[in-house]
Amino acid sequence: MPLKLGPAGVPLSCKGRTIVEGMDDITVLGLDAMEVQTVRTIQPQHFDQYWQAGILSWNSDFEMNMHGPYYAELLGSRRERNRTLSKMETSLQAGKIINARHLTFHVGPYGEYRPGSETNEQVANVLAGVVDRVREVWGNAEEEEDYAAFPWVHETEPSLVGVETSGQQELWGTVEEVLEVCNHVEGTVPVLNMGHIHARGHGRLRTSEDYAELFDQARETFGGSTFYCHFAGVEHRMGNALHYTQIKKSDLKFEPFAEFLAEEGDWMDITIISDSPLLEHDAMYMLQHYDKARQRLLEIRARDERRAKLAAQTGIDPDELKRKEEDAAAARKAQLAEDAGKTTKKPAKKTATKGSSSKGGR
Amino acid sequence: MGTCVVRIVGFGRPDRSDRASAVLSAAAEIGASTVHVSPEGSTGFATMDQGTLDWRAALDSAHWLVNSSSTVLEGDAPRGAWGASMAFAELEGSRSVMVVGMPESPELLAEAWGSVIERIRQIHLLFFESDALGAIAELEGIEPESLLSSVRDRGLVPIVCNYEPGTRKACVEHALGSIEVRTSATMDSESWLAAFLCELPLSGPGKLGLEKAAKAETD
Repeated sequence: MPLKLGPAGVPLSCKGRTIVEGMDDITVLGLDAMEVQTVRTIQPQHFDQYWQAGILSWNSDFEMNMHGPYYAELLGSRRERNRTLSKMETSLQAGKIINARHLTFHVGPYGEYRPGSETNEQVANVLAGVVDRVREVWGNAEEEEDYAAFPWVHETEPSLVGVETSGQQELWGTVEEVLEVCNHVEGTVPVLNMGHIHARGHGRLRTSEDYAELFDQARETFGGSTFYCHFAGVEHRMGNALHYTQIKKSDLKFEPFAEFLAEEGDWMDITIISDSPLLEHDAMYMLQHYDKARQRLLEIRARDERRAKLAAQTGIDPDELKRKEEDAAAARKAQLAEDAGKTTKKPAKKTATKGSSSKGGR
Repeated sequence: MGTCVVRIVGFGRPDRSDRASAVLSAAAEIGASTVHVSPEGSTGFATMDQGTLDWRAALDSAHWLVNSSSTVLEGDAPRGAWGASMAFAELEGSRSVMVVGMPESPELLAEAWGSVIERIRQIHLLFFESDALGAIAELEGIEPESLLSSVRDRGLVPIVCNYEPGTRKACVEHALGSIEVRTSATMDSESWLAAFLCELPLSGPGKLGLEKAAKAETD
């Protein structure tokens, strides 16, 4: 399963502050993706930095992504929508220069709209326009020479437009809404922000089965296998995200997600971005847990294979062999418990016999 | 009042001429235990060696870490230390406070504010100086009166606040709603923030606790 992990921004521990320096640090940490925040306008110094990052990602297996304005009002008044679209335009331009695989956008508050298919249609219409604009910005065959410095423009597909789930009841972006819109607009991809989904669902992501259910829903509705996720700890109340926290301090744990990915994620092409306050630290934490989950799974599979092989050699039914192994393991466990019981009793015995033994010694 | 138990750490210039240091000085005056973190010796602030700052020791059992948005404009080293301080605060369990004011070169406000936005997830209390409020509202394209609530909603910052010394009005936006109170005494904004920080850990939970702290009655 292709899994890429990285932080949302230049690592906190990075001494330099440029994107390229950040990419170097991320690679050293064993991570392979990054999400860059949009700047207000692309100044010449930004352009240079973005292009260098784009070239570096093109020449390596490093995945660059871009996040649009941190707040949007696509369902607001015409003025609000246009203001959001003009900020998004900056992201589209920057996304092309930086060779972004995903451009993530929020939709914003429902405003005058009510949750439902009519609102989703409105969002789909706006986002279809955004996808068209991404394609327009990405490349134009007639301008081939002008784009010689951007090999990715003509050799890869344009950036996918990511539609992010929201963490508050008053914001458009339930899982269902995002999947419905992504299903209808080609060139979009759902951005499953686990912190938001967990908060909005009153703490719904607790076990690996919860993740399986979420991705089954995504597979059935959206149909694709490419996913882009955000993961961070979150404080939530009444179905609203209140504050982002480090993963260890949240009731949203990564272990069940890692377990799901290791056991059932073979069909997925997934990128997970850590947008925790401890950016790269938590990205590393996620990587470690994913590796552990995979290791555990490999051990289980190796044991099953060994059992099947042994069963074939000895002519015993594999299930019977398994049962025997389980019985033996239970007996071993009981023996260990018994031994441990004896060990804990010993000091009391020792105290009782201390006087006599020392006497004997004399 | 038990302000003496509140421990505040601030990062600023050695000569304490910045807003974070001013908040720290005001907090010390009302009895808080304060630690001013700054490069020692003759090294300039802009060229400091940020590796010499022991954040873990400085932030040990601190309630608050106070930073100023203008610090990022002082050079790469202060910018690095500024970011590192917030990461360590997150790890050590201290709450980060960001004072957003108009920089000495007002045209650099957008850069300073952009840096704050990059770190918004690490900030627990965002304080806007009145001189920067209007300019940031303009940058964000929203009305100044809705800036605090919008920034709170957009950035999920637990507390966003402002104090207007002229009218003695404190506005606090938080997860439970918004509060507007007038302080009985006239004070500058750094003194109000210092008093607010000293009161918050002791004023009890909920809206009432926040309201009590916002009144900044420190004696």
